[in-house]
Amino acid sequence: MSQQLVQLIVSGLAVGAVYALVGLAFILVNEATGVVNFATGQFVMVGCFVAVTTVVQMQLPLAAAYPLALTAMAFFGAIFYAIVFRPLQDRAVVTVIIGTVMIGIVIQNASLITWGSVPFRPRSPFGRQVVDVFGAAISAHALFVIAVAFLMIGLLYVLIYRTSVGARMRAVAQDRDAARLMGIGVDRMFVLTWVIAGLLTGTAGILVGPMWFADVNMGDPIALKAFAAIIIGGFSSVPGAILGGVLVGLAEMLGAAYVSSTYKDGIVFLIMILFLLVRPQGIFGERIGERA
Amino acid sequence: MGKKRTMTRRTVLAGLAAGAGVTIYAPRLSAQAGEIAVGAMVPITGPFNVSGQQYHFSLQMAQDEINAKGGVAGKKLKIVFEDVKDSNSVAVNAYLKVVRDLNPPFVFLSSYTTQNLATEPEVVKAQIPGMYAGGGDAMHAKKNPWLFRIRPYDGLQALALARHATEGLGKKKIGILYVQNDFGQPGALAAEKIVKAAGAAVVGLEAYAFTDNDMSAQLQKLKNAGADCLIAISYGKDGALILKLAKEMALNLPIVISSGVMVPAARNLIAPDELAGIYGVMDAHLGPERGAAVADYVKRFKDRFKIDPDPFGSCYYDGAMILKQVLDKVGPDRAKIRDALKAVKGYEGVTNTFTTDADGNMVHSLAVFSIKPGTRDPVFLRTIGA
Repeated sequence: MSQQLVQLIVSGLAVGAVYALVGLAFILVNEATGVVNFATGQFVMVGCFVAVTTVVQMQLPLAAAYPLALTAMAFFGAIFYAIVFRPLQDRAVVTVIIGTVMIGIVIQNASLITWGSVPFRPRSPFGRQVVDVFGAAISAHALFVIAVAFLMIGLLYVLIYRTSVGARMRAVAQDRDAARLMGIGVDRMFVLTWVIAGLLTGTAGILVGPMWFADVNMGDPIALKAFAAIIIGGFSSVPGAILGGVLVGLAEMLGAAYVSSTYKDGIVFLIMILFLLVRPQGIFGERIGERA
Repeated sequence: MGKKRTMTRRTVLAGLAAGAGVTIYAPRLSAQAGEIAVGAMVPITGPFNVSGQQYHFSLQMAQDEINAKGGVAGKKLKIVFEDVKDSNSVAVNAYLKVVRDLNPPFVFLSSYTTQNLATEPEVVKAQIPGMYAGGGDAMHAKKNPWLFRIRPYDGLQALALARHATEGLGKKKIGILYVQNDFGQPGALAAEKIVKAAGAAVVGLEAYAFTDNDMSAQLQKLKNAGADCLIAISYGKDGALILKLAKEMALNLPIVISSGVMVPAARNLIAPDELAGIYGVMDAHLGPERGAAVADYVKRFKDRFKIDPDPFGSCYYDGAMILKQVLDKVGPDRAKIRDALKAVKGYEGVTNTFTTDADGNMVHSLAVFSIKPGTRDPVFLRTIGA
């Protein structure tokens, strides 16, 4: 394998792992609540900037800074549920979607006021260390991103499919009223869903900061690619989000290197459109109509 | 269980009415007697705020300093700021609002070419003189006699990048990486022509989107194409990412990069060793070697706003000071202001020397810098003019 290909694949996997994490946050909220959270990109941005606060501004050691940032993001998810989703949850879906779009704009401008417009560069646990992988110079942080993202995805999988809490979350996702009749605390499951979404996006934000810098406009482009990833992988599928994320990441890198850097994003979105036309349920997903 | 809230038609209508009221109600802009009010279209919020903040601060400082010294034409100068965000339509509406409400003798336009291109037809109709900082050559190609550019145009930047890579560094195989928009693409094509005219080869032209976070594929491709030097046409954060990636990938090529990354906010994102072998062009150098007046300006700016000034924003300070001279001389008459701005020659500002040419461009040179080893400090190398 050529040095260039290794470089591109690792970069693509790192980018794709981030898209997969963010895609999972989309899926989790959508499955549990039936709503696409269009403020997901802003969740990533806030996660990144909370880490800026703990790492750069408070100068805490990373062992304390990261857990503190993640705790803050868990609260952020819960607060978002309480002040945005809960008051709107019985409204028409379009109302909730518009609500998430609007609150996303509010979050972005509040972040601009709070952290300013100048980007930050939070440090990585590995500094700027570069490792040799089959002759290619690879940033240690990129490997860390891949490892942590897949660890988080694994933990989420265990939580959802191997624990009683996960079974209750799935029950609420399948039929909210039936779950309530079975004695499941639906509201608690909602809170938990938003807390996990906060943790996933917070992790993505913490991971991308040292790689891509932190700036208040970083959220939407990441969310857009993650959205493409879950359309390709399947809107209701955890493996689909992972595969979709990795495919989008690799398509970006390999497309830029071997096809055209000018049409790199066009390639990704063309693939997404092809899926929408030919296989709208994505690789692993089910048709929306089949769920009804 | 708390009481379940229901939404009635009345509450929906009340909400809509309140929302519409908030949207429609926007206080009319006004000027008091004894004031000369001019407009300023500034990206105060949104992605363009990085440079918009400097533009905003520079004009605030200029306004206060001018008024502290007696104002303009015997009156107080009032600069009315309108947020143009990152949207062309918002920029046009902001301009129309300023024209409608203030009927100003002069308007500072945005620092972004796309917004200025959208607004330019309204300037033709309003016939109000204005200054702008967007570098796109498409603006001066409009030949609008009411508009004056207060920083170097992009074609000049492309010239400086290409000349330094070829004549300055003596490189023969140039790879060009550019942000894919109306700043980067024309700049890259212009640089390509100049590189070829200098007898060197362009081994590759690679693009990336403004929102991209990873350009490693493009960098690798240019290196594999045999480049012995890279020209990068970027803004601040993306330029910093390019330099970070180039170091991580051990490209070991000299990089001549456009001015966005040379401003302090972007330079501070890059570690000193990532800046080794980097050359940058800048609209202006605001270092102490420029003299006491520039050093004093930098100090005043930093004391007030707690950040270093950058040349992109500071050119508006110069623009305001030129406007003061013009208003003092001809008063708030639009045609006379336009004619006086056309006649500006050799005005020494903090960023540059301003002389208006036939296209309304007032700045005609750029500075090239290297970086002092082990630091982020630029070291002046040469000036490249049109």
